[in-house]
Amino acid sequence: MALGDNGIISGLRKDGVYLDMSTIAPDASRAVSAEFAKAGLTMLDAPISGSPVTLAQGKASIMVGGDKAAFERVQPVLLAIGAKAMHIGESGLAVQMKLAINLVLMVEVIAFCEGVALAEKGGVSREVAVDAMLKSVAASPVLGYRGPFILEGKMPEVPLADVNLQQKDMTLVLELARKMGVPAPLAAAANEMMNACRGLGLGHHDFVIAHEAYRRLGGMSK
Amino acid sequence: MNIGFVGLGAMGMGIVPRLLAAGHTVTGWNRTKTKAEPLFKLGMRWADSPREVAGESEVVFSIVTDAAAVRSVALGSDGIIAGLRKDGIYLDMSTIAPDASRAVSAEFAKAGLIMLDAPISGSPVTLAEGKASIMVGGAR
Repeated sequence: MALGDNGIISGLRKDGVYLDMSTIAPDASRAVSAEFAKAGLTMLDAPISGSPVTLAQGKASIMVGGDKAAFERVQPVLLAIGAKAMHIGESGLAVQMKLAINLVLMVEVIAFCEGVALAEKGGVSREVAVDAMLKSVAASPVLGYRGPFILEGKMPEVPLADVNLQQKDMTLVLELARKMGVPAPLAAAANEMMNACRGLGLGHHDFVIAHEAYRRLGGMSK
Repeated sequence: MNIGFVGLGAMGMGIVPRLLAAGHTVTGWNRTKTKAEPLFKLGMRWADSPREVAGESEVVFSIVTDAAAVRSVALGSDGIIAGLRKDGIYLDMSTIAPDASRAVSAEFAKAGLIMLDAPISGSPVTLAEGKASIMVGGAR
């Protein structure tokens, strides 16, 4: 969409700014940005952190990588989309940061699923377990809106992010970690639970469905 | 209310001042008495054993490191079980294995007494901010 004869690059004004909000690998983002630079144009990587829920609440945050002056020009537009707009650094670093955040987010949600399943197996009711988790210091914004999905009948028909989509980001994280030589064992473990979800035929649900995978693996069938 | 507190480590040192500030009378015990000195200045009373703490209190808390420590303060002739009033309640706030907690609770039940497991979620920081949360298992 960005490159080629029918791409944004062919129509962008000299003083225009192109922002890509997709979550992709930093190297891929930098390569597209380099093409724009060659043509005397500006591209920024501007991934957005937050689910459709966060977005609707006006609480999404946008991170930007690339030319700082261009960031300052588009900042008012970004603040119309979400509550926060941050310049992270050079081109590609905003998607690098976005992937780092998604790593934490996913490990956090999977850990919540693991913890609730452990509590349930011992005899704590699921409603009480979720309530206790969300009242503890381990609670977080993402657990606050996503955690209750695991209660009976509360899994949304349309997922905020299904297992397949979330695993795409996790695969990017693991590949980036491998390339850079940074260990990411927690990300790897969380990703394995995504495999389990897909294997159990749960891939189309929001990824907090990992709780159901833990239940089944732990001998707590419905 | 008269409250007993056994175990005055990082968490106990944070909890007792909150109880005193709320107007409760607190009697405490710790393996090492000198560590409790800052609490004496705030008005905490001292007893010479967990049993004596329980004798002074309607509600007794303990928060110690592990299951062995819980058994040592809760059970035996100098333990909380030996001093707790019939209508008293013992709450153990330590994070220990569920089976170990149930075993101690069963000893209290045998003696016609009530013990609840009441672990606290939160660090000393959360505690100081008044944001800790307490979960309770046992007789409702």
